[in-house]
Amino acid sequence: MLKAIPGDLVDVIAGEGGAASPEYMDMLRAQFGLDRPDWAQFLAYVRQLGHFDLGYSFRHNMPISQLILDRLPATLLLIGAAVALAVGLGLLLGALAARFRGGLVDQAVSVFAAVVFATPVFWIGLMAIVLFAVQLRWFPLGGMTQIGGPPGVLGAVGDIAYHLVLPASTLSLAYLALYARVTRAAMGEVYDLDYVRTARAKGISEARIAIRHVLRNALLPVVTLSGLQLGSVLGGAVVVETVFSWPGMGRLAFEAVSDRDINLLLSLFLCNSLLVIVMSLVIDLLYGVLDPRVELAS
Amino acid sequence: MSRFIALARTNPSALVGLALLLALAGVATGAGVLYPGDPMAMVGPRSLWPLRDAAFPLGTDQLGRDVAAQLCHAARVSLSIGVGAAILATMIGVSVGALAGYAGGRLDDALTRLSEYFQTIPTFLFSMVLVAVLAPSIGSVTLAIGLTAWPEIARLTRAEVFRIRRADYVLAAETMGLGHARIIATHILPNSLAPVIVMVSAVVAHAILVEAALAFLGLGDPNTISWGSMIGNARPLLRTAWYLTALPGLAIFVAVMGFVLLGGGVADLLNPRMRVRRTSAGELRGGDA
Repeated sequence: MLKAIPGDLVDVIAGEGGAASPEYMDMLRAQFGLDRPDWAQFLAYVRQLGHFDLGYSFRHNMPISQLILDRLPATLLLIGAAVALAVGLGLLLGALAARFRGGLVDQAVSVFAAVVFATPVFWIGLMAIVLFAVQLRWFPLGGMTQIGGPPGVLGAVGDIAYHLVLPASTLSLAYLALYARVTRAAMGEVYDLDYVRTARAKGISEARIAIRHVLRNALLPVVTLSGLQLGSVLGGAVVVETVFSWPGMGRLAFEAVSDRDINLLLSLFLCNSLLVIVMSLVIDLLYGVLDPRVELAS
Repeated sequence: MSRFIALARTNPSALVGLALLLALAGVATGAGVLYPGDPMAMVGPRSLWPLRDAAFPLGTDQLGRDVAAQLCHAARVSLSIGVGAAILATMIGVSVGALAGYAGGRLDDALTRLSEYFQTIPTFLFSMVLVAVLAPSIGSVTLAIGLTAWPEIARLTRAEVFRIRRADYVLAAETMGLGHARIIATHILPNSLAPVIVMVSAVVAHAILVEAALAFLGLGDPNTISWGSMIGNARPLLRTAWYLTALPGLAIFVAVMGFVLLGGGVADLLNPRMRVRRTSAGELRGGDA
């Protein structure tokens, strides 16, 4: 059912895009087939998609699939690092806040979450550059590798990791705050349940109760939410990649917009929808792992 | 009024939010009086840091334009797009939600499916595509944000309407032979809108953030300035003049924070049960809405 969704949307905008971008393509129109009626373009586009052909970017003079494959690893690295950081730290902070409700960590987490929500991501990134790259010179200004960087595979990996620190932390901040809040709320509910009292009565240590009894049962809502949120992570990546000159799909999307390369933009949109579908699938499978009561075959 | 005093007593953060928003609204409406000239005009020395010259308290940018004047005029654009997009999203969301919750059955299924569909698409990219296709202008940016923000409101409205749909007074109204439209408008909606109003403030906050990000990427109205476009313009000078980036960012932060705090406060005000619980627990923090 989900698979039917992104196609529809892309088709709708493909119609619009063909009709609405004449200013850029005026003289090249006939060559690209844009002088044909909307429905013919639309049919051609759908037929291409059927053949896994995303079309050709006239701006970059490259097939779009090639362009996207070039940029995909960088984006996946950035998103993966940001999400790992957000989930890890978010769970930790949320668990601490739930364990010591009303305590210092709890209050700090809620203030932090409110502040992070109210601050634009790109501004956090820019301020991080001012502080950590310009003033303190701890991290590079942007980019993914240094020209003539350290030799060898290990050197290259280290170089990329060094360039990854600022963009990944920036991107993860918003999600981190969210995960911390959701974890706190979910764990707070579980802490009130009877079996936690039973566990305490049995003399099990607080740390073990927190991890095995409470966190484990509070994970489901957190996982659900992170699945929903991951669909939007590429939107955040657009901004963060632009700020840090990270050569990924997000920046490609930004370039596509400023170049009025509608075809490329649509393809990126389609890729993102695919990402969302894959993520929902992974989340559904994770349910089975986390909660034995959920059966995969039904 | 007594409610207002109660709010002030139990929830000071809501008052802070209200004060922030009133100040911003004052600045935005007074921008024409405070700085009657064109904010894009070059009026002073170039790249003047804040607090160096009394004539330009917040300094000037790389072209010698007054930063304070720009901030005030940008407040108009940012706030009006934020509020406009929220109004649009609320209108769509409430209509869809009310219709779905009231009619039930197949129409409900179809409308719920539609809003789920809008929730699965990546909203920021979708807004980018819309603005790019429609050509950037205040109208298209408002439309692009409003069109992506309504599903949450629709979901909430539907749940509320659904809850009231079978209430005795609604059934009584039906028995009296009132039309569907009248029942929805005068009997159901007034009793279900309270939580929706709270959510609207969150949508305004969200819309201001999205507008800033779009304008930062160069997808704002080219003929006006907004806080986001100021940051975008100042970005090349980040090394030497980072105050040009910092100041508009702070303005965005203040505006969004204002709406968040106010929303949290109104939520407490509308929910007496919550208020009692919170006060008795000695825990006055709002903002969970």
